[in-house]
Amino acid sequence: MIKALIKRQTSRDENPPPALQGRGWVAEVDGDHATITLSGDWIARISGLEADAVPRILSTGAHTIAFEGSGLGQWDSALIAFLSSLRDAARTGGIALDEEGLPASARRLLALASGTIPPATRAKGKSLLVRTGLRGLGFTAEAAEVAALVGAACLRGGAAIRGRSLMRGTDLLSCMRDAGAAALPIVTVVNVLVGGILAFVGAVQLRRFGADIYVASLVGIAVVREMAALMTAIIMSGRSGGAYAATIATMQGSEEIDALRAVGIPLFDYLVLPRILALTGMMPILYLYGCAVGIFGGFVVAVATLNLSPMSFIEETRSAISGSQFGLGLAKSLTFGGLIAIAGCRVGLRAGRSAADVGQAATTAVVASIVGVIVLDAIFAICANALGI
Amino acid sequence: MIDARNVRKTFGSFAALNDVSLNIAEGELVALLGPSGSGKTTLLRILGGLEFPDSGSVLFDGGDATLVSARDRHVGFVFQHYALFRHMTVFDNVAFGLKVRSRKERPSKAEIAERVHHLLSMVQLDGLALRYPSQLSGGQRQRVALARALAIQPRVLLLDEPFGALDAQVRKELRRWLRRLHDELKITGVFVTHDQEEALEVADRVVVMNQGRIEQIGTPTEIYDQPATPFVYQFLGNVNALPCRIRGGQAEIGPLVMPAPSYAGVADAAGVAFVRPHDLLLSRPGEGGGSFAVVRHVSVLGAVVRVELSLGEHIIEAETSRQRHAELELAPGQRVLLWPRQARFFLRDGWEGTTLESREELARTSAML
Repeated sequence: MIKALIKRQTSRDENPPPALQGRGWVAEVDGDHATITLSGDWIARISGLEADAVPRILSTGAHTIAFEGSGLGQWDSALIAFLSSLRDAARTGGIALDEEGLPASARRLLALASGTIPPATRAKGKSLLVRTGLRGLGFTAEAAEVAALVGAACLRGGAAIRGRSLMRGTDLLSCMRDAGAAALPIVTVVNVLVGGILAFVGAVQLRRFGADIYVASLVGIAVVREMAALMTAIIMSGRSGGAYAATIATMQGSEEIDALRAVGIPLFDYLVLPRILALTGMMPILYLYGCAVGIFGGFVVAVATLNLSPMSFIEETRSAISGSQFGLGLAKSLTFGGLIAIAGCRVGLRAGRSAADVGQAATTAVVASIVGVIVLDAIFAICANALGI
Repeated sequence: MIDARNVRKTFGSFAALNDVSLNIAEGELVALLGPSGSGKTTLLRILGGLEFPDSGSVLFDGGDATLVSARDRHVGFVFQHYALFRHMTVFDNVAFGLKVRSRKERPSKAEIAERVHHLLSMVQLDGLALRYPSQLSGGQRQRVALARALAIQPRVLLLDEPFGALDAQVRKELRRWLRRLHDELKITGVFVTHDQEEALEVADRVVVMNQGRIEQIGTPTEIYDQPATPFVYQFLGNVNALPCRIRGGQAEIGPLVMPAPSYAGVADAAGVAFVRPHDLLLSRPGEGGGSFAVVRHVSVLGAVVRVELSLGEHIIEAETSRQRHAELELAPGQRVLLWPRQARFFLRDGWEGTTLESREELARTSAML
């Protein structure tokens, strides 16, 4: 070290080396060796970057470059950018760089900025087979979870009816109010309008054949068999299914679910059961109510637009709809109620802990229950057709 | 009492706990201390049975409880955001854990009422039994949560950042109160915190965690006075971290040379010296030993005076008393003698937690932005 210094000293005496300097650096060239002395502050915002610094240093023709960084003040990426471009240029020119004299933190940043950046990180694509397999496994697991939930609902529901459950009565009642009386206004509006629309559509077509009277049976059968159950289920998907998912997801976020688990309360009895019981209990009632107001909607439209007396409409409706059609509608509404409640609770329990997850859970629950309801309705239609109901 | 052995837990590709082993004795109050993301809450949840480890085991009183649910572990859990049942009164919240027990284990109604009132008086919320959580202040809610956790007569009380959501004044009161309560009940307790003051004040033992590992376990005094790693040094209290060279049993911090006998075998290596500000002695030239340093800045902060000095190229922060400040008549530009009462050295090689340097880099980068 000292020898080298002396050597440099003597060589400087004999032949003063050409000095090259820029903003914050001085390069001393000694034969094919250059020493760059860095000094002062290197702050990009203040000093900016010197475009021609690197070519000027390389133009000295040095084969090895060393640094002297003890005089450095404050520095940031300005220094790293300078060093990094110098290093890149040196590498292409076959020049050796000795980084020993740089501050340790700069050396480390420089290493980070080195060319070993992984090529643009394309998501490591799994093969189609693997993805399909993972998806399939995910579906299987989810199906198992849902099946477990349905099973638990049957078992614990039975226990609850016999009064052997940890479910709180007040929870059940408040869920029943939400899924029942509180939903009446919207159920009324939608079903009245659907009944009226059916009557309109029927009237336009049937009047051509002078078959005005059959508007009554059209409205009656369509409402009782299909529309009342389906429309009510869709309304309840939005109202209750989404609300269940959001409530449970919120409890997840506020650690209430964890608190329940820590206190030792079975989540199913406490959270899921009252909701399933309330919705499956209320749906048939809402369905019957929906039938009544739907037929009323049809009645108003038919009597107002066609040459139909109120009595003949009522008479025709009574003869058209039978008990088995009500049975089908009630079975549907029970199933839909169970489906919506289970979907809402399942999505809520699976949700993450952040506020955004709450909204997402609500959306997922609504979409899942509406799709589920319509698929189930189609299955019912096929079965009813096969059974000749 | 509780024994966690080689517990590992990953969430996706993130290793939340990396081979953590911990032993908690009966009746002890232990703090899990660490920055966010250090795995302390995950460890607590695993101890409580709300989360299950990927590998390793948890023993309660010698019996394997790794896969036992929270309910059967008989733990009381207090959450950061209280997690009170919002549609129940304070009384019902506390009584709930008892009411839902099966008929055989369930105390009678009168017993439950008595126990709840006893607990509520213990947490000083006697008159509020019929209020709803939304009608209470944060501190009151957290005390209800504590009463609820204690109602089931748990073997262990686990608290997840119990005072994290409270304001500073209430937090201070509550943590003293928690310590008193613990001394009265003698219940085994574990609490998570990122506040070193809280950990040092309340706990019998402190577990310092970082990046899913335990850095050090010890009493508050041990942790503060003999930090085992640079991370613990920096996490607990203010400290000067000064680059130095360690040569043959001596550490050179700029012009200052200190004995470092534990590194007698090291010929020449780069190191870092850690010195707490209150361990730096200042004296007038000629009065004491040490190296010359120049005062850059003096700020009087209540009882202590913080002095910024430059020693060679290093900037050092020292703390001294008001009285000493008056004696020395410290003013910017003045030359004083500086001597560290104690310091600790770490070699730079093999030091993995490079928090200090990266912090320095961070500051530089943000200066640019």
